[in-house]
Amino acid sequence: MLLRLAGNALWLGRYLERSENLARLVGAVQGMTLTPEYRGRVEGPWLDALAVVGGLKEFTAHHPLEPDSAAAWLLTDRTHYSSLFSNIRAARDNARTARHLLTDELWEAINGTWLEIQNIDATNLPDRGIAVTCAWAVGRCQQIRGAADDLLRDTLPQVILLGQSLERSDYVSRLLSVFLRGDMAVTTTPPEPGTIAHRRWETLLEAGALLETYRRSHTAHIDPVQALTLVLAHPTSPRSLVVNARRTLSALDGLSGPHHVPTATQEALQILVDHLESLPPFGADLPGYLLKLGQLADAVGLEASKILD
Amino acid sequence: MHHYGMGTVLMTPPTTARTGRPTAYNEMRLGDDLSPAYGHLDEWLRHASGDRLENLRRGAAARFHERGITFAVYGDTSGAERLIPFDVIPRVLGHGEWDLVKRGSIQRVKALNAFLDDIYNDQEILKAGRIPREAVEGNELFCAQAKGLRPAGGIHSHISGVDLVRVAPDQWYVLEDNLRTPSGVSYMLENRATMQRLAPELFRAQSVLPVDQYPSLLLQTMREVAPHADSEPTIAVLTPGAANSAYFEHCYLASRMGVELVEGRDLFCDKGRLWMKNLGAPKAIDVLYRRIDDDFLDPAEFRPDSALGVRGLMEVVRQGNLTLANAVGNGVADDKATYLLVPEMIKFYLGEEPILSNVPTYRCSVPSELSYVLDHLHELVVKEVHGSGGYGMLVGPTSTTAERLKYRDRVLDDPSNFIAQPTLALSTCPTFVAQGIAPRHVDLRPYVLAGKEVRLVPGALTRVALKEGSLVVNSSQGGGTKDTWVLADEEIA
Repeated sequence: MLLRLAGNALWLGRYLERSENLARLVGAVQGMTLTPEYRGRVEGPWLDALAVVGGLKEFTAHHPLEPDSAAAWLLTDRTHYSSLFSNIRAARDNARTARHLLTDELWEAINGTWLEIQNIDATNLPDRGIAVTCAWAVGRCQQIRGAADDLLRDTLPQVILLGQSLERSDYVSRLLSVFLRGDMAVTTTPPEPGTIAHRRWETLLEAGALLETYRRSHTAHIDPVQALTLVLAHPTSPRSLVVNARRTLSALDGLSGPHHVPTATQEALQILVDHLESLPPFGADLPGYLLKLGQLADAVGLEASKILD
Repeated sequence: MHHYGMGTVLMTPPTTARTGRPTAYNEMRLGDDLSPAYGHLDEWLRHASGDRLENLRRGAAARFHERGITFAVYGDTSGAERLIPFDVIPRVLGHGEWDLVKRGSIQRVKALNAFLDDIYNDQEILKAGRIPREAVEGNELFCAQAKGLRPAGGIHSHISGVDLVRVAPDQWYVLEDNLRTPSGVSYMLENRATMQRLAPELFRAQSVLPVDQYPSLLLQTMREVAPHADSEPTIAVLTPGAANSAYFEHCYLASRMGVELVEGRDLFCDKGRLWMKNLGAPKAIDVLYRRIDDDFLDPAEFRPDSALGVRGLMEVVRQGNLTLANAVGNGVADDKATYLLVPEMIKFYLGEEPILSNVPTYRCSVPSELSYVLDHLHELVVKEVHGSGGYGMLVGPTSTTAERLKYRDRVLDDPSNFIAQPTLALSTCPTFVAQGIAPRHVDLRPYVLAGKEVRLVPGALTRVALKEGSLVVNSSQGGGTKDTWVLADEEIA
């Protein structure tokens, strides 16, 4: 496989994952702002969502924070790199470059999503519906992933998967760094359902595609300790941070030959995995643990940007 | 007055009283007589409502968008990608009609390949005085870097597009040869796939010969011209990149052949070989189907500012370790001045009479012919010798007096840069347009593959001038395409 196309495949995986994560995040935050707990205080959740995707400064510099304006910007903005529109465009551009390596079905699933999102903008989003649009985007991303499942198990899907797991790790750590602030401080006392704290835990899990998993594994009443364990260190959940960090390591190991992966990336990942596997008892030094986690995730992100560059 | 390539016949079709322009041959219906090849299609069209045709048109456009068969328009900053319009009414050729096109195209490509191999090596045709030396070595497209190059099998043009127009049932003219990087074959293939998907009933009613083996034949051709016959060659398609208007085609052909699609930045030359920068170890390439122009191939020998090519590529070719398809220097054989010489090449190299005629052509570099051209601008088509894409030409009958005066000055400024041809009444085919079904002018581009054999699939790209009365079929000038059917032998018995 050409080195250049491996880079395209990596970014295809990242942008698809980023698109899906963004759609989940906006959908979850939109749902949260419609609850009684957040009546009259919707700005905070949207500021959090903007912070997760790194668009807070850009948005607040140019737009007033009004109901739905952040959602419209996150989903449909044509110019900012972090919008759903821009992520799908970037995924499509990378897919187009490597198109001859993709199956027709995979390409058409990606290209069809791109064609469709061009019809969605801030003016028609209210009629179309924010939640409907988010569900549509999640569905399209899953369809694309399904189509990718038919690729021959060679380097290409391995690199796409590498991009996906890298992006997922990055997203989970961003979610945690934003949501575990202030009234989200983790305590061993579960919040009462109907409280803002409970709603935020629900939103965090929903944005990470882990809410239903949590309910099945535990109950509808969220225990922060169990929730955080699921997000960070569940050994088999495809959305947990440790699983994705391990997957990333494994994908990097699987790339044979001089594959232009700096060993520092693998070292940073191994440190992160070790840290995740030594989750301390809650209530002990959790804030310090999470701070360190954020630093390690940042280090991985920095090193990962050099992969296949 | 002598015209190269005039052959024996200059057909002067009857003219319409209203316009004074020649009456076009309608391929479907000659007077009251329906062409036998169009029997089933005529029946289908009688029952197809406007809504059905409109739905087909929309369905085809949607499919082309989904497949990404689009091109970016240079200079359009909106990023919008456009479609080449597709007409849902196919063009139908009977087996005998196709046979003439096939034999004539193969003959032409054989002669042109012999010519290219000869002029860059022994120059027998020049020594024999059959073609003036100046016409070859004085041509600005004569490529010094190609001198002495003898690619595998002596083949220089592995993929050729021969542009044909038709003026009568058995009378085709070659408009031009495309021996550099002819494009459009993916449209031939996708047009067929689209019609089969959207109107399968048409294919059940008659036996339309398939074209989908083209990528396989292309691959076979590439294998046959590999420099080292003893091992399975590594083949790659070289593209200028995703911004190129033919990028879909580059991807399509690489994908359908199962070979890598590379850009110049993916390649390097070392130890007399061309290598791909792979994720693992580099891999040597034996045959490069390049879709970039000569000028950009190798900055060491052509344009030094080219970022699209690979430094040292031509040296690898000279060492016999790489076949370029097509070879460099082919432009000298397909420009509009050399075009005049092709009938002579056919006689010299093949000892045959041309099967397909050249359009009678006036060279403005010859004073007597220039004088004729200037006196008849209102009835001629005047073109730049090195022009393409329908740009920079004058279509006399549809031009205004002011346009002719302006063009006259251009010709007088540099007569050797222009040729002129009579305005042919390009044949028409039924076409679905806004007003319903109406005749529109068409041309035909078969794609000829030259390896150990010269071959082509039974089909071609038909380009159609969608504007009423227009003779310009180029997509850059508002032309569209049609699926082109060749019927099996029994269908026309």
